Amino acid sequence: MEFEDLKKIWDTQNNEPMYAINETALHQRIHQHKNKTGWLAHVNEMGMMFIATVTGGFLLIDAIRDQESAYSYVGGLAFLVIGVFVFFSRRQRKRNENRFDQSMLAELDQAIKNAGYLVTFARTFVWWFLLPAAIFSFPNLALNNASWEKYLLVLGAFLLSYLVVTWELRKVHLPRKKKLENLRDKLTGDREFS
Amino acid sequence: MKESEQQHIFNTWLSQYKALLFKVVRAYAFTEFDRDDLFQEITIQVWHSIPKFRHESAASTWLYRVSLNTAIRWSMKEKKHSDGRESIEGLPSAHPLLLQEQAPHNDEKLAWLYAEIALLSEVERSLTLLLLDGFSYKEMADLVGLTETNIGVKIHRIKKHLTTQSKKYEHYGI
Repeated sequence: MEFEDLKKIWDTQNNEPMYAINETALHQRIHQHKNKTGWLAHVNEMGMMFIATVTGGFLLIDAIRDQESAYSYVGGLAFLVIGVFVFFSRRQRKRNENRFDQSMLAELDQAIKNAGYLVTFARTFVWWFLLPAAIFSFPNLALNNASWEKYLLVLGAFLLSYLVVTWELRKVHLPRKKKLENLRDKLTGDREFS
Repeated sequence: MKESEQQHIFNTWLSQYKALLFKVVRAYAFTEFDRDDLFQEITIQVWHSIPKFRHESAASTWLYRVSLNTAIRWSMKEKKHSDGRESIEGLPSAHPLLLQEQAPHNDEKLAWLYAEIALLSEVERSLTLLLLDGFSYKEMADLVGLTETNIGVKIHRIKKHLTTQSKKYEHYGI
């Protein structure tokens, strides 16, 4: 068969629809799912913003109420800055995500960029969240003569958040980025059929 | 855009271009359950895309862009989607199916063509669908984001591969 014959075979399916759509079920499902895109990034960012702003807010309120040292003010402000940083990163990501008028290659590049954002978010988590939090928390515990159980609790919370973010990085973000990059290679590369 | 207006466009597109969506679904999903899942994913993305549609291209081109992008991403989610070997057909579903087969796919040649398309990579499948639906190299280049020359090379190889396979099919009657 020549290619024109293949096209004739292809065109036969235009005569009668292959499937009937259950429109009621479709509309129900669209209604249920239309706001569920990008939930992982959403949960990550909202969680971080919540933790950072609530912690920062409490620390500042405490500092003002108890007339604490400048150190306490700095700690509270640092957490609020982290919250604002996550907010702006999220806004930028959403802005990029909402672009539909792109070619497949541009969309893939955007998806790789988004995956890269999540990879960087997770990889630098220690520097922009854990480190400032530790710099504030441990001296504060020492100043307040905290018990060793409190030290263990804070250390445990840091360790847990580090493990969760690292797990997510290795199991979700890096494999996804790799898959997208492979797909991009497939799209731009040439292959000979055997 | 008002939701009622979005709903109206969605219904119009769905009724006018459902054949296009079905082709993409059949080329990328190989079990009843997967076809349903992919169709749902595509329609959700189509819904989201409506406010961004600025009439710079034909609605069919737009829908191909949205549905092929969705299908490629969907097929990456799990291996079973891309190779079609693992079937979960027959498993009870909590939701009613979205797609009901109108008539059994008893066109043997068309089934063979879809089987050949299924053996291509996700990207080659997209190009093959566009080619068979009569898109020009220029339109494909715009839609895919590659140069016309690059598209030309890929299409030449796909055409050659498909015609070679069709000759085997005719010769052996497989």
